[in-house]
Amino acid sequence: MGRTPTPGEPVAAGDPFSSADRVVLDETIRRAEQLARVEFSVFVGNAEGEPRPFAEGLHASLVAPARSILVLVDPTKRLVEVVTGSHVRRTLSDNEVELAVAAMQSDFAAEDLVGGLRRGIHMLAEHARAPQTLHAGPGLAT
Amino acid sequence: MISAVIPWDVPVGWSPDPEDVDKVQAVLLLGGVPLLLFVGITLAVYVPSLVRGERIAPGAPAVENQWLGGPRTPAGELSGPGAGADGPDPDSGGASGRW
Repeated sequence: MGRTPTPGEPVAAGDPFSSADRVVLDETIRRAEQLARVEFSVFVGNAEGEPRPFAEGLHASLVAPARSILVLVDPTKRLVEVVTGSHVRRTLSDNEVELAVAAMQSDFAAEDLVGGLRRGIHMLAEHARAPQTLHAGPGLAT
Repeated sequence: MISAVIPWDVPVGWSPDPEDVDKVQAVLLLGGVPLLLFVGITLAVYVPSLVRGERIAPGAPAVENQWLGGPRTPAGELSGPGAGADGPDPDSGGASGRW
């Protein structure tokens, strides 16, 4: 699934990530949260039952669902679900989420789980970032 | 009987009157060697996994559930709606995909 671990990298059974992959993904998530000012949670595993309700259940279980983005990836069923909270949707539309999902799908199809997650999270953060507003000071107003 | 119908010649170097094969030796040779191969291949496949502490039971999940950047608790404890501090978000959105 993920990048082929180099010899010597510890990878437990059933774990698609090496320790180096985890470091990279944790760093990606941290930067995305700093950029978008929302919480990112990635669940990689087995979606039980219908994937969408399962993903929404996971999203609801987060500390602050309204301000959170959940990315669920089931490598076995080959599906990805992204759930965005109501606060996040103010700046991140569902169409933009679909773009990120499409990008992740293409990388996942190329057996690059880590690369797909990195790209998808980065795209979500870029779109979720609140637009920069330029406030004109009183002296500049004409 | 077959030799009466088809008069094959004994190949050069072969004994024209060979000794009977010992049944025990035949069983050991024809059954024991495949059995040893079976055991050897099984050990070669499973022993490395057992040494690494991996699960070898059939039906084991291909990927273990894990969180990145999220709550560090098992998924089963989190799947219930309303488990979060703010409860479920009725206006949640998102997208789905398969590959």
